[in-house]
Amino acid sequence: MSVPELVVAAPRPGLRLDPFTRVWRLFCSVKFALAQILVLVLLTFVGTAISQVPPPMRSDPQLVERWVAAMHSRYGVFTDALYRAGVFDMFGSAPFRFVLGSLTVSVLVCTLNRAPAVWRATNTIPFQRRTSYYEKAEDHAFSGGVAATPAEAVARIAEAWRALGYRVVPDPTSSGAHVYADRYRLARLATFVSHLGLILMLGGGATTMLFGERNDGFVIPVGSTRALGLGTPYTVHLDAFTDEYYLQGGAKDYRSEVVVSEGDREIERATIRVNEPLVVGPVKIHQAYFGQAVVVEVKKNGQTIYQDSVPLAYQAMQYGFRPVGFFRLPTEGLNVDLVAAEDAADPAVRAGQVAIFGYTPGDDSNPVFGGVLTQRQPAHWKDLEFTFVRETQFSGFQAVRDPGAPIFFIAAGLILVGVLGVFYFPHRRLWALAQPSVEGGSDVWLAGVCPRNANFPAEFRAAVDAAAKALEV
Amino acid sequence: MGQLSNYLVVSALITLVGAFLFYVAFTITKRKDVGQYASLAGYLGYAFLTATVITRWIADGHAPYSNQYEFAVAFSWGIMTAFIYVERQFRSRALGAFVVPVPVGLLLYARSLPDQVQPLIPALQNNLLLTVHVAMAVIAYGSFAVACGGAVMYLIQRDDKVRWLPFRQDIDLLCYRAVILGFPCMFLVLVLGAAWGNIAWGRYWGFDPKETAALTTWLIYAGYLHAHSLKSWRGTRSSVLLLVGFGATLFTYYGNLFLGGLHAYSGL
Ligand code: HEM
Repeated sequence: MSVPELVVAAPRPGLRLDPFTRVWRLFCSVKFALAQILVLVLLTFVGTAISQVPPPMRSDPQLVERWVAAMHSRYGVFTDALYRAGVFDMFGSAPFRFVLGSLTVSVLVCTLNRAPAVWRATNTIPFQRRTSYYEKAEDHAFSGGVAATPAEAVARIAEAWRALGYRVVPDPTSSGAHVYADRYRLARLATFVSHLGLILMLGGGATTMLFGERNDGFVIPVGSTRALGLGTPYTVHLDAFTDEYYLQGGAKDYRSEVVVSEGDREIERATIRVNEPLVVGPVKIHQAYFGQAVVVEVKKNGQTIYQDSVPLAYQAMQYGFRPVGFFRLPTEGLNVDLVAAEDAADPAVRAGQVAIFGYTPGDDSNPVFGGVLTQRQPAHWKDLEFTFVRETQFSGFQAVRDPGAPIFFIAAGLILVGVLGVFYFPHRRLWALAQPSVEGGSDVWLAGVCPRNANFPAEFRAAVDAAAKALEV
Repeated sequence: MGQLSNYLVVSALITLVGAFLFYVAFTITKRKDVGQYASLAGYLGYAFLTATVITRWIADGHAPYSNQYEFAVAFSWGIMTAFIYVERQFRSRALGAFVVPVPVGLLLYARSLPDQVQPLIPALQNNLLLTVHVAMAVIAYGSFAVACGGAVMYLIQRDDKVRWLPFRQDIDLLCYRAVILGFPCMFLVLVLGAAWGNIAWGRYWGFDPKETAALTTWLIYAGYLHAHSLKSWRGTRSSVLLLVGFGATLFTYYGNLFLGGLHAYSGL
């Protein structure tokens, strides 16, 4: 008696896949990509429609809390729930980053998955030898009884198409009775270019976040010098600042004349305008804002211990909306705030005056002294003498070191090239087949394929006309 | 010159209303001569719009994009440009009945806005970059409006039974065509905006509400392109995406009326 053999069915593809393959397939799926893109759309829409915590506040939990409290008037009872869900900082929130990350993985997986097949498609020559292919092709043409042998007919068509700029590959295996011609075959790779560009763009963004540095409050009073910072050895001196206005009142131009030095060596003199930043080594300096500054002098026992312009470029809670500036006197263990009038009607400080407050470092709430300085009238505290010498202006810059920006723009170029390649230079393919005709001569079939391209029918007609002319039919 | 530009915009408005009526009449009657009148009126309206933009440009001394009035006119011009391009490629006049009302509405809206010529503040003085940035926006928004008109046609024609409309396969191709014109332009809007931000503030992307709205719009059309490559999504669902996309386009365009942010100062 024979023992029946155990038959083990081979697993059908697509059924019992191991988890890795399943996840791989999921990430390859265009449907899944579409779903992720639509979720991203939803999140960015929410991020636009709902107020976001202003960027300068984000790093300070107290400011964020105050901002959220103010939002109660707009979002009412939902405010706290929205805040906890991260909606007020949508683009830094976990869901947003998660979708962005998962899309990145999708693009990578999808690219890796498709690359071999697409590469093969750009390099294989798909000869078509069956007349049925030609009859079914979306764009096709036929001419019976052409006065030439199949080999001749095909050779002439090949010549004509070559003259039109196609790459023409005669069929070496069948004595010249088939031809394949194409154009822009590398455009098949364009989808990769655009999608890899996308990843590179996110890479540029990540580079900016991780390695970029900026100082949005780089402020220099006219006539003063400040260290540029951001890892550079440079100092910047502001020679002059000019603001111009139209007769109707709108702002026309802001510009700062600066001198950049390294130690005692002058490196560059330049004018910085709103749309004309100055590039110093790896750092760009952008014109951002301007305002009032005061020149102060501090003397101790008749000897000057401090003299500089103090930009009133800030605001502080305890002074309301008044412009505030500060300087330190480390040898005296003193931080000094200078506060200007909010407007001409300010009852506390009048035009031509600044209020002055001294604090011990580490205690910002209890001034050790306070008063009002009038121009050129020295005031005294202990053995110190403070003088408000004169008013001047300061210019505010944004100093930025951003190694991610070039990556971002290169990526943008790649995406554009990829997208234009796919849309406007899709792979166009032509075929010709010539067979001996029953009446003598040849029967000639032509076909062309270029999906979704509205211009292709016209191009195909041109190819047909060229072939007809070459065959004299 | 500014005054001339205002007369021209009224002429454009009147001609386009005429074109719209002819397009509707053509769609219903299918009479060839009516269709020709429709196209003729459309071209004439387009010529008036072009002349409006040019005269305004001369009056301003820079490309006309410094306020909402000028942009509404430019947007109408963009829609007519994309429409005429697609109409000529597909010889599909029925589209006119669905697309031409959009520039008509925009021009009516423009007439309700203050139209003084204004000087540019310093941040807007980067002429070339901004001119191309806005020109690309105009063409992108215009193409998306055309695609939206096509999508409405598609949704009416869903089962190829409506005799007065083209076949749905042709409508689908027409929409796709409009999107592949607008999509790269929209991308350029984003990138040139980023380039400008990088020059003016050293920041190429800041999640400013207007730029984020533009990104949302672009992503919707990226979604459309993927949907269009899937058999199960091509057609009805991808057409719905085109309607959503145009909604997002309008939101981007009008966004700063209620969004604020850095773009607020230009009024665009
Ligand atoms: C935010 C993310 C994405 C964007 C902005 C995007 C953008 C685009 C664009 C512009 C196209 C049309 C032009 C071209 O082929 O280059 C396209 C096509 C395509 N994308 Fe994406 N893509 C994204 C994510 C993905 C993902 C995750 C996948 C993989 C699953 C994917 C797979 C494809 C495929 C297969 C095509 C070709 C479709 C066709 O045959 O027309 N994409 N994508």
